[in-house]
Amino acid sequence: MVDMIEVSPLKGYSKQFGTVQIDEITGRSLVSVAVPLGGDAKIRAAVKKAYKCALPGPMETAASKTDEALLINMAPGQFFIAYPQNDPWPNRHVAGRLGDAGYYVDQSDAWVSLRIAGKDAVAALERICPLDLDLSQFPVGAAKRTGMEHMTAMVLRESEDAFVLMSASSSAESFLHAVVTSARNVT
Amino acid sequence: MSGYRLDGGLIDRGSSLSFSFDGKRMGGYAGDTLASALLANGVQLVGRSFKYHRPRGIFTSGSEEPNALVQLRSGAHLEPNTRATMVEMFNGLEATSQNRRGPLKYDFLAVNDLLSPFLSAGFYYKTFMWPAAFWEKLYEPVIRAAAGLGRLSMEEDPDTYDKGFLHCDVLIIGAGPAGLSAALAAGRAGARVILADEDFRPGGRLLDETHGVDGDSGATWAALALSELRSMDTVRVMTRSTVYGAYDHGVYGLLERKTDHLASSDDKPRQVLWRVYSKRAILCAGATERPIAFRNNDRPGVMLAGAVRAYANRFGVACGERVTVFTNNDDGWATARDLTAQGVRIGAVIDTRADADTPAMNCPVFKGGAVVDTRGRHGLGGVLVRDASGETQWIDSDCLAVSGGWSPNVHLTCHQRGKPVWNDDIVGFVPGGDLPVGMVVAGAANGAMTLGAGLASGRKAANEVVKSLGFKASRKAAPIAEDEPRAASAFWHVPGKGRAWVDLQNDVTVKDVKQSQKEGFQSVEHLKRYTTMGMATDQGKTSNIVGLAVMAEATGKTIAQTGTTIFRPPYTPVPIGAFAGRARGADFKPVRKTFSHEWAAENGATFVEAGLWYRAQWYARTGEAGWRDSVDREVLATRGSVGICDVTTLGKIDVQGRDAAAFLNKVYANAFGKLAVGKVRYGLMLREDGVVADDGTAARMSETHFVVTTTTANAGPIFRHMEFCRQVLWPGMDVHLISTTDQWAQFAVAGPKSRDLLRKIVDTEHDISNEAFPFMGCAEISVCGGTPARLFRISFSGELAYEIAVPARYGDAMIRALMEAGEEFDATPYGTEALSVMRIEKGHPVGAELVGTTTARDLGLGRMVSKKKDAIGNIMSEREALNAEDGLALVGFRPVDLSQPLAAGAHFVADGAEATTQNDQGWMTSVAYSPSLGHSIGLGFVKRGADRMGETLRAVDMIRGTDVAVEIVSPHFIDPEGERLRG
Repeated sequence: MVDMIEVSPLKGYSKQFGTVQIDEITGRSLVSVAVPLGGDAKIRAAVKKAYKCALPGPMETAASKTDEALLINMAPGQFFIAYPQNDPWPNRHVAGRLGDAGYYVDQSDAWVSLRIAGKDAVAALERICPLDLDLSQFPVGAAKRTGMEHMTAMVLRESEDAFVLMSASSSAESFLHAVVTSARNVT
Repeated sequence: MSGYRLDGGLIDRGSSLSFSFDGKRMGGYAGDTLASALLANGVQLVGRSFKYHRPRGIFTSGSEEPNALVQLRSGAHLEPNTRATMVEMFNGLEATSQNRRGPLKYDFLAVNDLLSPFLSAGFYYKTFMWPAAFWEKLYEPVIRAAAGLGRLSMEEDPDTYDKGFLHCDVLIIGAGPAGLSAALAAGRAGARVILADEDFRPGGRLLDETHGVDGDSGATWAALALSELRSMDTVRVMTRSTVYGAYDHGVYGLLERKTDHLASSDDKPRQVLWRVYSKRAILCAGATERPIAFRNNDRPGVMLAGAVRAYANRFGVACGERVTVFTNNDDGWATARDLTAQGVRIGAVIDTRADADTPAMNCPVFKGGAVVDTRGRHGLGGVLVRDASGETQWIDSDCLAVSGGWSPNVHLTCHQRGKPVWNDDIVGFVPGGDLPVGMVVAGAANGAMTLGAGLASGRKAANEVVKSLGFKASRKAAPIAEDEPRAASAFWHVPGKGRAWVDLQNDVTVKDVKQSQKEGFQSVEHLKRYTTMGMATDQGKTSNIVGLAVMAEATGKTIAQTGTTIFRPPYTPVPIGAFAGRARGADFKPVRKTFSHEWAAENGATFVEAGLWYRAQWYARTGEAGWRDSVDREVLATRGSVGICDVTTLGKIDVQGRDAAAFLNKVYANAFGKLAVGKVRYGLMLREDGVVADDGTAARMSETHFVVTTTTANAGPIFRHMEFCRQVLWPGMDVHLISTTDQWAQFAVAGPKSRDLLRKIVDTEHDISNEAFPFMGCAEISVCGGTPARLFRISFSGELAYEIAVPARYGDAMIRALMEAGEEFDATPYGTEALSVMRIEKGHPVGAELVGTTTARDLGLGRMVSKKKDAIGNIMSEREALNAEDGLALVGFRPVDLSQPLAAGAHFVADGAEATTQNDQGWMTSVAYSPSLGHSIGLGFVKRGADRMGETLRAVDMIRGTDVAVEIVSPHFIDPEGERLRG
């Protein structure tokens, strides 16, 4: 029988362009949690109990020691939990943590994740990202949705000059091309 | 002074540069423009005029230049219509003159000038009327060839362009005195500032004048200001950057020229088109000097006085050996003063004002005089001056510096339909009150015409702006400068015989403007279109006011009553390549690929674009003569054993919530409330008007969880529609949607051996026998030893079939596993063509049938529209006209002569009837060659189709010229009872 080898959308891409490093982030599970109508208090309590942190506010993230998870909130009534892959059914895994406080959908493979980091990372992103990336507007830990080169995207700020970019996995090559072109153009 | 080079200036004399003009090598310095370097080399003649091919020279020192348009570089890099005044000098710069036949000095088409009496405004509308057949074939090509600007290389642009996004609290447009003063104030307050200037060296007129600021020269003060601004973290200074348009909500378009000043772009984008999001904008665009029209005022050597001063003060260049000044205002005298100080001889100063309070000059002065003519062939030789008494005399001069006053650069204030207002004090238009949201105007652009006023105005505007944004304004005092004399008068043109030029770029004269008015073009907008005044690359920056004044005079109105034409973006030309940015060629749009793409490519797939997706269309094998061979083989292999097709592209929407079933019951026309867990149902979605929107399936994974599929094309629109329903129509329902299209790699496994194949893949704890997992079943399972998967027993091909989905990262492994497991069954991958053949054989509708007018009844699915529930479109689908007995119905067709092919798009007419719209009975929607049946088959809509089985019609395709007799048959060509798919 053929081995069921996992292949990430960009096969673990990693390359440096001058001061900008671009890496695909692999091996991460991503689960969407939808909050049942009227269930805000319940999900907050469940998150607090399971992940030992408060549910982040809109366009914010919260790091948890549980599963080394990152909670990403960027839509009303819905948030993501990202964590190192540890279960073939991530939605069941998170359901195990939060119970019936939410509805869970595995989104691990729906997105490609790129980390862009380095002194000129902001300069590179200015060429494709409509968001205001100034630290005063987009501090470390913030997360926002946007579109880049006609592709939907999520942007998370890890540090002053490091960002995680997420976009649809089916157009991962086009997304990478857009990000790499930006890095090349400014370095 | 050496040649035309003067001492001083802001050029770097330690950095000599070489350039060529029309093949002749010359020298310049870093800090020169092409224009200043040409003038320094004594070159006056740089081009030919648009219509009459008259000799033309450099007229200005900035972006308003109408005359000195040149071509830069060569080969594919050739760029026409470039303003020499804006071209920054670099070593190896290659420039050529344009719009000439033969050498620049001896342009063959200068004969047009002799024909000028026949070529006045609108001549082509009147002269070239007959015969009509000549309009496009003869007249237009000849006129276009004879008149015009530069030529394109006709090669693909080898440069790259980029776009970008910038954000700021305050965008300051222009880095002249007002802009620098505003930027200092805003920056010191802590606001995020972008200061943009079109020049490569910020400073504006500070660089061109000899006025002092805070005890330093203007240029020194500008350098100090820039140094302070660049040291601020919140300030971004952008040079070579033109803000070309003011758009909604504080958004501005900005073109940054990144590498135009370099010999090579070094594979970096040549220009970047920025979208600037600003909370406020301060327009400090300065003012543009305007000419005075008089006879033969277009000769090379006739220049704007402020430009002549700029070349002397900034670039260290004398524009002539003996310069005469002609002015109607105080500012013109500054040119005479500065040139005298630099040792340039002044021929005379002519001021149209008889009573002007003017400084003493060591040269002839004519108050109340005027220049009435000039002489010279390829350059100015002398000017004919008429004094206050009416006497005339020639004065030898090779340069005439003309000042007709200054017009505030109000352009961007009008980009959202704002109208400027006339100001008698400065004799010019100033911004009206209706500015783009968030914009304020400062400096000369707002009518503050002196240096002191401009500096103060910039600081004041910035302080008010930053306060409105919540910052504390800096208390640092405004820079101090004197207010130089600025008295102006309204003197626009010197009446008299001969041609006096208003618009140099379009060869429009005073007479043309008057003639236009006489011929009935009363509106200033009509004047522009009829005469072409104010068109082309300069958009009339130097000519508009003079033209308006002449028109006002002709109509007896004031200039204020005459008004201006509408200012629209872009302020200065923006290359189309910059607007396109990266969206060229393969980068025009993103590409979506399935996770078996690489495997498909390895196995001979030809791909077809389906929206953004690339899908395998067929898999060619050695020995196959064409696509039909491949497709026929794939269909027969699937129906004979088992075929595998990647169907990842179908839209997948995860629907969860306590009200998920009730929600789908409202969204789909057919019932979903009672669908059992572990079952799939075909669903028909209607629009509100009762017409079919899309079809697909919904699989119930649990009481609160469905997986909905859509067609590939409608994945986005249906998701959006369902979100609209959820958020807007029924916000009280507990239902949640998320797209999972990209999450799952999904494969159709179809054919009589499909179950046998899957049994080798599916982990043994999952029973997929017909009894345990019947038609329309669904389940979460595992495959290949624990890999998560979803299995759906649904069939598009009409065969025993499944769709198996695995997380996308296993997509490549899954197709390889399926093919390996299927080897003993001769499993065959099939593409979208075979998929289409098999669905036509089964009579399944797709986009070709769901055309936006199709009802469920047309598809023979009328009974699916439930009468027992409230669902979108159900009531409207009952409208009488949609249920007429003679309505269209989807049926099958086969050619009477089975050897004949069918054509999609053919229309049906009765045997013997003429193929006309009146006789049209319907049309063929889809056709295929059915390898299973051995002949062509088709689907189509025809009136009362379901009642006409066996009837013969003609399928007439007037585009392809075919007329084929066809028989109406059931649309279910294969296994009409559906026994195979339930087997």
